[in-house]
This record gives sequence, C-alpha cells and structure tokens, in this order.
Amino acid sequence: PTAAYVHLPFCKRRCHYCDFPIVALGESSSNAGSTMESYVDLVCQEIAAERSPSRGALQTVFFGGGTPSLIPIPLLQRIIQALEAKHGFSRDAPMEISMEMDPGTFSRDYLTEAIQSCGINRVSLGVQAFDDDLLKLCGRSHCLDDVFQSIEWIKDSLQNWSLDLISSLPHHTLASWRKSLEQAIAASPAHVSIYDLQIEQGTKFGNLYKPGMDPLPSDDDSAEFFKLGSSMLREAGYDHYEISNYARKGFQCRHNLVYWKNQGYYAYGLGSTSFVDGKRVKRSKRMREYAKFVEALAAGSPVLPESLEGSRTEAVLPESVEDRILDTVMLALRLAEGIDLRRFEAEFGSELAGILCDGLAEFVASGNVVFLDASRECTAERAGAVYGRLTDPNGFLVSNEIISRLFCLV
Amino acid sequence: MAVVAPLHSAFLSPWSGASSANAAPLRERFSVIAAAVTSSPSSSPAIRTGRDRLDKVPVPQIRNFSIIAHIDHGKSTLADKLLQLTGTVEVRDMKEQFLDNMDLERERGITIKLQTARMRYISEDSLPYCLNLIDTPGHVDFSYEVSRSLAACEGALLVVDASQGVEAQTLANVYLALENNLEIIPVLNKIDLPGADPDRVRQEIEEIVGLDCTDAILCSAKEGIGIYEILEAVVKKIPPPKDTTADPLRALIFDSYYDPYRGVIVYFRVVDGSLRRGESVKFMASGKEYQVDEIGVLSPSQMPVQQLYAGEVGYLAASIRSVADARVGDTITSSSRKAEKALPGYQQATPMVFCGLFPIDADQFPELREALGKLQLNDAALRFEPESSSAMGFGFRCGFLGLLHMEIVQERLEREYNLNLITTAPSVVYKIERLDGETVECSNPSELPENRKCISEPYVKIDLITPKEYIGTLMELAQERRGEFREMNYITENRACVVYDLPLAEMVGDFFDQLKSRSKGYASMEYSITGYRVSDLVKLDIRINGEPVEPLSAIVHKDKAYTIGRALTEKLKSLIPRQLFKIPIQACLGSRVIASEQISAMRKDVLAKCYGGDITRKKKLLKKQAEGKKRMKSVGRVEVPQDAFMAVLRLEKDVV
Repeated sequence: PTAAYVHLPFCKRRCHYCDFPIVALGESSSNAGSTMESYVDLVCQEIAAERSPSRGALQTVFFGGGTPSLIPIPLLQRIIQALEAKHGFSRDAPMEISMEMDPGTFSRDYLTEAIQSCGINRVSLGVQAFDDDLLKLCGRSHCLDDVFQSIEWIKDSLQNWSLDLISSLPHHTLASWRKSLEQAIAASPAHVSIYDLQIEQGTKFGNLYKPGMDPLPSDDDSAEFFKLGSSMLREAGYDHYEISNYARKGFQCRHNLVYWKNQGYYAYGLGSTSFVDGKRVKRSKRMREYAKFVEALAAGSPVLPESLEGSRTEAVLPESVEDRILDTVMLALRLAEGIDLRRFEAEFGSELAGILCDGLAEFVASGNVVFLDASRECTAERAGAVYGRLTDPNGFLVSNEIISRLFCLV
Repeated sequence: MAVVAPLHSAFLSPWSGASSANAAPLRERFSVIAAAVTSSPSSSPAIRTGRDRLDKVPVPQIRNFSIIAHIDHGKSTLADKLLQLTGTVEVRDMKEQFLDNMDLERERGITIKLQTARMRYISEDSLPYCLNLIDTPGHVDFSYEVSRSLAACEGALLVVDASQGVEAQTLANVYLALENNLEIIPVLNKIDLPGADPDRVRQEIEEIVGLDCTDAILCSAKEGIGIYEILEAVVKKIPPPKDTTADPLRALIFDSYYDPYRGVIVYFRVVDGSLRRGESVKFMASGKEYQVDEIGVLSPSQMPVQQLYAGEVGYLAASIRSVADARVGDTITSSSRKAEKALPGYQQATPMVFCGLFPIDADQFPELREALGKLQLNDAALRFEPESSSAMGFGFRCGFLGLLHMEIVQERLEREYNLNLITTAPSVVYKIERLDGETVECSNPSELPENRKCISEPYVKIDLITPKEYIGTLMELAQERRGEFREMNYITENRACVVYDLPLAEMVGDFFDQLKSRSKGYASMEYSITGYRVSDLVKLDIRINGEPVEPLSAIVHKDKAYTIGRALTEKLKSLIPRQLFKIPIQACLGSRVIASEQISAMRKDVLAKCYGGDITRKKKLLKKQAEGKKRMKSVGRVEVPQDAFMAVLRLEKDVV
C-alpha cells in the first residue's frame, strides 16, 4: 500500500451525532498531555511492528479523528517520523499529508508548525455548520467566530484545504441550508465534503430524534438539500467527484480515492481498519484491547484472530471473490467516474459483467444510471459502454437502493 | 346360532369385588367411590370394577350417552370425573381433562377429534352396566359430526353452567338431540360457584328447551358433587339399545382418524348385528370393502376384543387408506351378509369457506402439498387444489367446513409441519348466473366469470343469545353485516335470543370475534345455512402500478365497495416502501377506479460517509438491504414486502 491512515481519537467532548471511536478529554483535563503521549507511543510502536513488507513508499497519509488538531506538534512529529522510517515517503509523486482540524482547537502557530515541521499539506476543516445555535445543538466545542478565524488562518498558509459540512441537521430548512452553502463557497476552499446527517444508535441524537421526523428535515427535504449542494457547488466550479465530496480541478483527496478504488492501505490507531494484502483488520475501539493488540504485534504474533484473542481485533481473512465483487460495485458507484466495466470483466469474468450491465441498465430509463464510452461521453448503446455510473444528483441520491439491488444480482 | 353362545358366556362371566360395596347404603358407597377418586388405593372396589370393563353385559344393561355443553361449561371436567369414579382411568394416569387430547383443543377449550370411553358401573340395583360416553365436537362448523355422534346414543347429559345459563351452541345441540329422540338429562354444573343460580337456569332450560327440570341434577364436576347421581340417572333414565343382534350388521361411524401405522381407525356404534375380528366389511356410502384387522373398545385407550354386538361402541382398524373411505355417518355392514339399507343421515361434506394458502418461502411448496395430503387422510372435509399467482407464487386453494375448520387446518400446517403460510381472505361459494342462462359456482374471487347476469350468495340463519344489555350493540353488528332481523324472544327477564338472516360471507370475517368483544364475552351464537339469495355483489380488484393483484381481489357488496377499497389502498400505501418511481395503488370495480392512493417516488437513500473502516459496516447494511429485497414479492416492477400482503389480507378478513 502507498496510503496510511492514522487515527487520533482525542476530542474535547463527544459531538451529539458521533459514534466514532474517540477519547473525550474534557475541557480542562490536567493529564491530557500524558494520555496523548502514551497513546502516540502505542501508535508508533504499532507502526514499527508492522510486518507487511513495504512495497513502495507512502504517497498519502491521513490523520483522522477524533480531533487530530489536539495532538501537540512534537507528538505529531514522532508519528510522521515513525511512518517515514518504516515505509519511506514517496519522491516520485508529491506527498499528500492530510489532517482533520477542528475550529477552536488550534492556533495560527500550531497550524504553521504542523505545516512546516510535520509536512502537513492538506487540511480538512470540520466546520459542520455556519450557525452558532446549530453548532451548540450538535455539541460542537467551537463557535462560529472560531470557524471564521480558522478559515482565515488556513487560507493564509494553504491552498489545498477542505471545508466539511453536515446537511440535514435538526431545524435545517432549505433557506438555512442555502445560506450555509453560500458561506462555504464564499470561503473558497479547494474541496468540500458534505455529509448527510445519519442518526446512529447510542448517540445523543439517536436518543432524541427519529430520521425524517421533526425537527429533522423530511426525506424529501434532505433530497432537496443534496440537490442544492450539488447544483450550487457545481456552479461555483467544484466537481462532484464522490457522493459526498466536491473538489476543484486537481484537488480531489488522493487518500480517500484509495478507499473508493478499493486499493490497499495501512491503518494505525484505535478502532482503525487496515486493508493490506486483501485482508481487512479492524482494531478494537477500546483502548485497553488496542494496547493488547499492539503488544501482541510487537511480540511477533501473526495478525490472526486466534493470536489476537482478548484484543477484540477482527481480522478478516483474505476477502472472498464474492466480497471483492460487492466491494468493487459498492465503492466504484460512489464515484462520478463510475465502475470500469472492462476492468470488472477482466477481474470477474464476462458472465458476471453481463449481469452487472443488465442490472445497471434497469435504472437507465428512470435516469438514475448512465453508461459512458471510452471518451466518457454518454452512450445509449451497451456494447460501447466502458463505464457505468450513477447520475448526479438523481442516481447518487438513491445509491443504496441501486447498489443493494445490484447486490441481489451479482 | 353361533353368534349367541359366546354372548351368553360373556354375560355369565362372574364379576367380583364390588359386591360388598354393592350392598352398602348409598351414602356410604358414595364415600368409598369418592375416596377412590382422590387416593386411589389399588384394591378399591371402583377400580376393580373398572378393570372388568371389557366384560360383556346383556344389551339391557348398556347405556350410550353423550354430553352436550357449551365451551367452558365443564364438559371435560365432568367426563374426567365419570372416568375416575368408575375406575376407568386411575388417578395417577389422569391428565387434566383426559378427553381433550390435542394441544390445540386444550388451548381453545374445544373438542375437535372425539374421545370415547366405555365404563363399567355397578348400579343401586346391583347389576353391572356398560356405559359408553360418546364425545361430541364442540363447534358449529362440525354440526354434522355432532348429529352423527348423537345418533349413536340413546341419551344425553345437558350440562349447563348454573351461573351462566343456556348458550346458543348448547341450544343447537339440544335440538339435534331431540331430533334424534334422545333422552335428555339436565345437569346444572358449577353449583359451588358463588354466582350459581340453579333456579333461574332451571327455569331458563324449561322455557327455551321445554324440558322438565324438576329432577335436574345439581353438580360440581370440579368438586365431585353430583357425579354419582349422574351415573344413576344415566342407568335409570336412558333407555337401553334395542337388541337386534340377530339382524345383519349395521354400524354407524361417528368418528375416524388416520393412524400412519394401522390406517384409518374408525369409531362406531353397532346398531344391528355383530362384528367380529377378521371379518370383511363394506362401507355402504363409499362402497369400499376391507378386512377388519382389529376391533376393540375405547376405555378410553384402545383395548382389543374379539367381537362387538348390537348396542356396543368400539373401534376398528382395517388398513384403510384414507378417512374418505370411511367417513363419519357412513354405515358399516358385513360383506357376507349385507344390510338392505344404510342407516339414515349420511351427508357428503360440503366445504362452505375457501381460501388460498401460499408458503411464504416458495421452497416450501412441495412440503405444503405433502402436508395437505396428510391432513386430508384424516379430514374428509378438507379440499385443496393448486393455485398460483404472480404475487404469491405457488400455493393451494383450499375448502373448509367453516372458519374454525379453516383456522385449525392453518394452525396444524404451521405447528405440526413447520410451514409459514400466507392465507388469502376467506371466500364463500357464490353462484353466478351467466348471461347464457347457465349457473356456475365460484369460490375464488379472481376467477369470477365475466359474462354474469347476477351473483347469489349463501345465507345463514343466525341465533344470538345475549344478556339484554347487549341486544342493541349486537343488533347494530348484525345490521352492519347486512343482517335482516327475523325475531327476538326473551328467554328470561334478562336474556334474549335474537335471530337474523345474514349473508355467510359477512360471518366468515371477524363476526364471532366482534360478537364476543361487543358483548364482553357474554353472548353466544349459532348458525345454520338456509340457502342462496341474489345480492348486489361486485368484484373489487386491487391494482398496484396498474397490475391487478389477484390474491387481493374480493367479492363485496356494492354498498361497501368504496369503504373497503379505501381501507385497502390506504393500508397498502402505508406498507409498500417507496421505490424509484411513483406507484399508483387503486381499488377498481371492473375498469372503474373507486379509490386510489399514490406512493411517491423514493427521493433519497444514501449513505453519506464511506471510507476506511466504514467499508465493512456499510457493506453489511447494503447486504441486509439486498436480503430484504430478495424476500420481496414482485408485482410487475413493484417490490412488495410479504408483510404488506399479510397485513392487507388480515385487514380484508376484517372489513370484507
């Protein structure tokens, strides 16, 4: 793999919609520093213990969280050094080192240091909403002023940054959502991610709200939000390259593309999942069990379920052909590029490719799917089709319906 | 006469053991027997008497009787007590309510398959008597079977709950008993309960049934009160069978069931002549002949004997392949010395209610076919033929005697054969006069002929017995169901009998449930088919996205079509998930749409975040969604969840 994900789980507090593996530190935790330091020790240990033979240097690194911008610069440096020592950083292609940052958690100096001494060259800023009331409602630890301040600092030092928004938040109306989009566009980021709010069990939102029920917008409204985002951002020069992601030319997130193209990646840290040699390993979401896993790894145990007992780590044996087919379909259709039918046929055979094409063709008349030829022009003829993709926005909007239908067939 | 000799030797066979108890005064004897019931010392005279129950007695000492009672009025408990007191069943072998031995029967408190018990009882006159208790099924769907059981008896105990009074069901069976010239002994049960009012109930029986109740026996089967008096009354009041042993054999079948090892087991009463093991017999209605492998008496378990004579009750096994060959009501005669005429009263089983049965999992179709075949071996009234529809796949159109029969078959299929079924709304048998003048029958709404002049439907006369405070609400119910008022009589000051003419179709839905719930359980009902009448009936079709869904078609009265159409389309709208295109749902009479709903196209179904570790989780979700799709039934392009069909069919059962 040429991509590495590092999970930095610390947050000031848990946001009300979040069910990610995080460690909430509290606003004024006195021993936050040492907690983070011992965690980074573990991560570095895990990186060093990695036994999958490195094939080529890393091209992308992604620090996700949690709130990575809470990690002190020296600790971040240690991780970078560990990664470079283990895998090397690519010199053929420019490195992409992304970091998720939350407004209100970092200073201008921190940002400068991160860029200069850690090599961070892409920032994904968790704005989520342009509205103080909504930010509060979501349990975010920052306010709107923090958002504008952060944007200003980032724009001063970087061109490659993403602004992350959540749509369909409680009380969102088409008017308020339009305003958020206008503000996002005014900030002129190179990349925009829009995540439609999902109500997860066990979260505060999960206890308070039912999807599609007041104060959450209806499904129809959510669909309108999605369409509005798609059209406004397109007009502002952004390419809708993945269901939830938009980018100006040349600013797609290379790291995330690795996932969607079903390529391998390393992963380090609590709760993270790696995909190396066709095998997915999902680390425990519990710190103690993750520590056990690292310990076993460092002691030379092979990454197998039986040797990782007690560490709650799920190691998925090399994926079956069936799983690979499903992964390919599910991931490729998230991209505007769509599924490469010739490559699919080469990998899984012409019979299955035929079934897939038939399945996709069912959705052409309704305008949810289009076939494209080699020069990416729409084609009505199946024979000349090289790609099949979901249309934007109508196909993207019902991607689950279409993908699950295809799952029934292949 | 070779027949007579063994008979007499059987009569002369000495019986012993009960002679000392025999001479004792009544009260003392009663206490001895009561002790046997509770403590069961193995040497007790009653038990020893019980052991001799296979011994023959002369015909004048045989008594054949049944018990007529409403559900919950204590028939089973009383029967159990009779078996215990006569030592037929020992206390340690006694399960609660010995006579109801199917789980289903226990749960519902009704009897479907009959039990019969031969008891030996030493009466006050010191003579040994052979008492045959012949059970009757406790539901109106089986009134033919009840009439055959009663025809096998000379008398009946009319058991009425002294706190509840006479119920419609009881009444119907009493009339059947009177038609069969049975001696009826009124028994007022549950007199130990605080609410018991024997005088009122006595008066009620006298007024409704016209039966002298001065000698009605006060009883508490539960407490063992009055049991002895009942046995004495059976001996004294019920006439013995006629001694026609010399005549050619005629035996009346009152029940039969299929045993996988021995073939059909037939329960019968020898009316004339005698039957010997090994003899060849002919079933006069079916025309089938078999050689009898085994005969015996039921006491209550099967006990083989060599021969049975006029007046006796017993069973036979003859490797009979299906109960249809030896149906209830048929007459058994001897192949070598045939009776001239069969016993009267035999009727073909006519299914009155039909419905479609479809396996939820299409793979279960062969299992369903096999299960229905097995049930039919044991149930001559059950009919079935294959039916298929695009929405439901392959299944069977099945015919039943009535609603209860239908439910029992469904339950047995689900419980005993582990099948998951969808059932369509029950339909009655309509008669359609075609334009060409010909009349055809139709029990499947989707097959209703087009060129029809008019449709007739079966009507029933329905008797409702209710405390007076529910008269209003029950009349309302009958009116809602297109009932026509016939008459009303006050049975007592507080209870009335209301009679309506009602289309059978209106009764096969939830009528009985409604009756019970609207009268807080106090009202009871009874019906009998009275014939066909022309009605203003129409065929209501349901279309999903323009495609007619045949299993949802129903034949309804014109005045109700609109309401029903609206209820069904609304229900479907709430249950069919949105799909990528909009789906019209319509209720139609022919080509005319009378109600319509629309499911708007799905707008959004998207998983926003998908990267890294999320992949496996999202894949699981999508796989689950795909599994759900696989379980859907397709109507044209529309995927309809099984649940939606089931819910609409349930609703249809209630509203149609």
